[in-house]
Order: sequence, then structure tokens, then C-alpha cells
Amino acid sequence: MKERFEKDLNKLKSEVERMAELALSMLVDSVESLKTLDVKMAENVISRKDSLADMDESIEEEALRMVAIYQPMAKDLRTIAAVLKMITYLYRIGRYGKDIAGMVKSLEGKGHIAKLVEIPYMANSVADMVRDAITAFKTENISLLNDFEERDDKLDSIRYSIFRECITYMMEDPRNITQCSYYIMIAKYLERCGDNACKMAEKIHFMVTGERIEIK
Amino acid sequence: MSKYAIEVENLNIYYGNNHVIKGINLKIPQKTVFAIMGPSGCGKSTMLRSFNRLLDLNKNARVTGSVRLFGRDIYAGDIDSVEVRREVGMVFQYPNPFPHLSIYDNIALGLKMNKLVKSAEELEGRIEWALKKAGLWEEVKHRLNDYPSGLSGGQRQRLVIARVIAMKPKVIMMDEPTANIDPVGSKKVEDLIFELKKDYTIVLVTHNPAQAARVSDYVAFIYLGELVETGETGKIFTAPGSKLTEKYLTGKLV
Amino acid sequence: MYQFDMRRIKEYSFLGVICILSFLMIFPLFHIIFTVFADGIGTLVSTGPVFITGTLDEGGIGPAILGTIILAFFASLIGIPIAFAVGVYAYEYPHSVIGKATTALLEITQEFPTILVGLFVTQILVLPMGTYSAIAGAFALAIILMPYVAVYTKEAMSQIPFTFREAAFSIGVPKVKTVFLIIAPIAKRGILTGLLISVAKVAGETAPLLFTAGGLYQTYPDSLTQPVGAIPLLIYTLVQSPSPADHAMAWGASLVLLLIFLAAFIPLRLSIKEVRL
Repeated sequence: MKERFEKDLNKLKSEVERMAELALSMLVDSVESLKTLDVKMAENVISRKDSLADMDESIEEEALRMVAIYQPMAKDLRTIAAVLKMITYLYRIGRYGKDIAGMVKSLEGKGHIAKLVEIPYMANSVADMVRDAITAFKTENISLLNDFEERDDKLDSIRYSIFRECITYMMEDPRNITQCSYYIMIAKYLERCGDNACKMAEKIHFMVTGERIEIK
Repeated sequence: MSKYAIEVENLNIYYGNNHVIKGINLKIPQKTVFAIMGPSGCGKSTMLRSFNRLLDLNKNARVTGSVRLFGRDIYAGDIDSVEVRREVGMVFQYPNPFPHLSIYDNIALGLKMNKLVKSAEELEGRIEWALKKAGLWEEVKHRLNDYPSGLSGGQRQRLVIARVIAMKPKVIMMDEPTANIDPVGSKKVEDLIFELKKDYTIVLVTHNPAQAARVSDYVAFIYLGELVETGETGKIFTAPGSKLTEKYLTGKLV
Repeated sequence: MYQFDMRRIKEYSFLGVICILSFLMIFPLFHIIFTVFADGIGTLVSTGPVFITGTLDEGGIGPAILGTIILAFFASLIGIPIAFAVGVYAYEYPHSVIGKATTALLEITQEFPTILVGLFVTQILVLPMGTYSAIAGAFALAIILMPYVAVYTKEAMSQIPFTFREAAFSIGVPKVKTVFLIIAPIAKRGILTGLLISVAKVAGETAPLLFTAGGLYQTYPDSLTQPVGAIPLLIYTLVQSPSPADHAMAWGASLVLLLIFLAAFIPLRLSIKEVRL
């Protein structure tokens, strides 16, 4: 029984990792397509949303099935609870990627201004956070999560600096308004992705230690 | 009066040279279900039997430390062990109504022995009350003079509970009360435990963590005679404080 | 296929051996019953009711039947209460020094040659009283009876699960009452069966009666301090006689003894309701 549960649980965890890869690829690829304004790539990102939704559903179903069948306790229970929450956060992250990809189409032919400000850098930071969270989930090495609060603060300040910079560009030249308002929105999305990564970190921390932390 | 039904302080129990219970401290709040769980042979049943001095039956057993029942040390010199047992009722792993006595007499015996009722009417009333409280009245009211051998395992266990309730104890201890009965009977007993905690403090020993999780308010985990951890049931079963509890609950303790 | 057949062959041959052995064990028993019936029934029928009621001169064994009943009754009266108490004690305190000693002693006395018991009683009762007597016979039988009753009582009570003791204690039933109101009644069937077997055993004893009860067959006994007869004793005496008529009478007496056993045993055994746990 125990072995069966362990096997199912490992499978469930690897499913979450796969979903994380998919969500992360949507985020990273959407920013990549944004950089080059590659509409084809953007469309490809958008097309992945269905499999993302499917995974969200199938993992949830499997997790519920395991709760019903094995009635897990303690860490086993916390792991499944973490999985249930994490797929929601991953789904959101993937969806933000899809939303960013959607903007690529609107920006097509318009070109970028100011080298996309700090968006690529911000996107990298977010992707790193998600990667670290997933690694922590996989290896239970929660020391990877220690600096999440700082990293989240940093994302906030980048978003704010993007915002101010964009305001300046818009005031300088009203033709920049279209791009800049997109940039502001994208920065907002990326910051949200960072928040989701932080929520994941909280759940992973609880899963591993049984202690609740709050990342502000 | 103490707000705890039972307070255990530095309790040690020995069987001959065998140190079975090692320095346990425990506080059991009133009118709650307090579960004591642990793997078989960890000493939990032995500890339970020290709470109503049933351990006196075993000549080899020696108890040190104190067990206070509503603030009174039951191992003090001037305490009458029969009185302690009247206040602390006990339900056993094997549903053990007395097979040679009718359903009625099974409950009447303790009442008569301890002169707890003054008249025949009172006796009858008390028996009906106890059977109702144990949720068995409807099932047996037409055959009170039958022997318990005609009852199912679950019904027998509820008869034992009625036998205990009839004495109007303050605490009811249950030693793996569902270990020998089928799932339907078990569920009824569990429902009954939930009902009874309105009026009684219930101490439940179980080696089934799921049962402890279902019915208890507080839980203590005993391993190899030591108290590993105690706390609110919800907390222990989701995020136990001890690695050992964690292992036990996730089935990794061999 | 081959293995399967081997298994069946083994199984059937094993079953066959068991059947034969069981038969060999039961056969003598049935043979005894059959022979006693076959050889005894003739005497019983030809003599008629006088055989049961008459004295030896009238061609009956009445005094011997009454003697056996008297001896068994008084042996039980003396032996059972004491033996029951000893059995309860040995059950209650199996680990105490006295408890252990009692258990060991019981086992020894169970195997004690009964003729020695007869001799012992002769020494302490018959010689001082100057005569064989019903009392001496009953006393000898009581001594033989006691270890059986005690051991059966103890064993029957030991079979009762400990949990019933715990249950009784947990509702405040004192120790003595637990034994007599809970344990003994639950063990009722075992204890009573033990009593029956013990009484039946002593009722069939010959050796201890030789020097104690004496024998009385011409008249009915009228006092416990006078000699008294017993069926087994009578059979023993009759068989030693050279006369074929006496032998026929011995067979008849054997049949009566057997019938008394069966008549007492079967209904009693059936009437004791087992306490279902």
C-alpha cells in the first residue's frame, strides 16, 4: 500500500514538474517572441494553453483520487495539498505567458522602443524564481527559497521603474503610448508571476517542513 | 476544580524489569475526545490501564509518578481503587458483555454491585437511559432478557458502552474499541463517541491513525513507551512537530 | 497432472489411516458396551425387577446399587466443596507459592494409586472405628475425587478470557464476586462436566473400597457407620466365585452400572447449556 502510494505520489510530482515546464515555457517563449515580435512563435505559445488547462485538470483529478483512496496524513497530505495549490499558480503563470503572447500580435509592425526597457531582465528574474521553486519542490531543498522575499521586492521595484520610464517616454512622444502601455501591462503580469512563484514557495516550504511562512 | 480530567505527571510503568512507560506527562482536557495512538506494543494500552488502576490486576506491574483524576491523585494511599474504576469507565478491545447474563442484567450488575440505585424502578429507568444513550435501546428493547450472544459485534460493543454509561462515570476510556468489529459497527461506535463527548471525557486508544483523526480533538503519539508528541488533532495530522510522528503517519515507521 | 494425482493419493491415504486409527481407538469402547449388554441383558430379563430391588439372596443387587449411590453422594458432599475451593484458589493465584504447590500436588494426587488411598483411610478411620463403614468408603472416594474436581475447575476457569475479569473489575465488582458471579458461571459447563467425570470415575472405583466400605449385599444398609456395598465391589466379589450363576449376576450388575452411568451422564451433559462467548 505504502509503495503504491509512493509510486503514485512520485508520478503526481513529476506531472507537476511537467506542467511547470510547460507554464514556464509559455512565459519564457512569450517574452522571447515579444523581443523579436515573432508572431508565429507567439501563436505557438497561445496554442499551448489547452494542454495547460488539461494538465491542470488531470493533476487535480489525480490528487483528489489519491486523497480519497489513500487518506494521506502529515507530509503525504501536505504534499498533495501543495500540488493542488501549485497547479493553480502554474496555470496562472502559463496564462500570463499566453496574454503576453497575445500582445505580440498587436505590436506586430510597430517595433519596440527603448529596447523593451527592463522587461527581458525582469522576465528572466521571474523565470529563475519559478525554476528555483520547482527545483525546491523536486529536491525539497528549501534553502533555494530563502531569498524569495528579496527577489520579489526587486521585481516590484523593477516594475515601478518600468512604469516611470514608460510614463516619461509617453510624455516625450504620444506615439510611444501604444508600446508603453503594453510594457506597463507586461510588467504588471510579470510581477504577478513573481507573486505566484512566491505563493508556490510558501506552499513548498509548508510541504517540506510543516511550518507556514509568509513571503511579503 | 482542575479543567483537566486527567493529568499525568512523570508516569513510569514497569512489568518486572521491563520499563514499559517512560516518564510520560500528559494533560487530558474535560469533555473532549483524547486519542492515544501508536504502533502495537508501544505501551498505550498499559498506560490506559493505569488511569483506572486496572493495572492493579497485574501483579508484575509497578507504577510510579502521579495520575490525577480531576485534581486527585488516584495512586494516593487513601484512594479506593473500586471508586476510581467507577468514575473511569472502560470499554475493551474485545466486545465483552458478560455472556452468561442477559442484556438487562449486564447493565444491572454494576449498578447493583455498587448500590448506585435505590429501587427497582430506578434500576429499570437507569438501564433504559443508558441503552438509549448508547444508541442501542431501539435495537434491543424487545429482547432485554436475551443473551448478548445474539447481538452483532458492534451491538455488543455498544452494550459494553451502555454498561459503562449506566455507572455515570466522568471519564470513559476505550481501548481500541473497534478493533474487533466490522466497518458498519465501527462507524456506529465512532458516531457514538462523538455524541458522548458532550457529557464525558473520552480517552481513546487506537493503533489506527485514521480513526484518531476522525474522532478525536486531541491526540498523543506514543512510541516505545515514550510520549513523542501531543496536540490538537488537526495540527498533528497535517503538520506534526516531530519527525517521528511524521514518519508514523506517512507509514514510514517500521 | 502427475503432481495433482500424487497429492490426491497422499490425501486419501492419510485420511484412510486416520479413519483406521480412530476406529481402533473407538472399537474397544463399543466392544465393552456391546459385550456388557449382550451378556448382562439375559440375567436382567430372566430375573426381572427383583434384580434391581432385591437383596443378594433374592437374586438381586439392590443393596449394592443403593451403596454406590450413597458412596457417590457422600463422596461428592465431602469432596466437591473443598475441591472447588482449591480449584478456584489455584486459578486465582497461579503464581503464588501455595498456588504453584497446589497445582503440582493436584497433578500428583490425580495419578496416585487408589489402593493406597484405601489403605490410608483404613488407617485413620476403619481401624479406630473398628468396622468398615459407608463413611470410610465415601471418605476414600472423596480423596480420589478432589484432585479431579479441582483440576477441572481450575482448567475450566482458566479458559475464560482475561477480558471478562477486566470488565468486571472496571465496573467495580470486587474480586471474590468476580470469581463467583462472573468467571465461574461463564465456565459453568466446563466445571460441571468435570464434576460429572470425577463422580463417574469414583463411582466405578473398586480398589479403595476393598478395605473401607467392606460390602453389604444381604440386607439394605441402615447406617453410615456400618459397612456398605457397591456395584463394582460386588462385581469383583462375584467374579471371584466359581459358580457360573454368580458370573451371570456379575454381568447383570455390570450392565446396571453402565446404565446408571449413561442415565446420569447423557441427560446431564445435554441439559447444561453452554455459555456462548
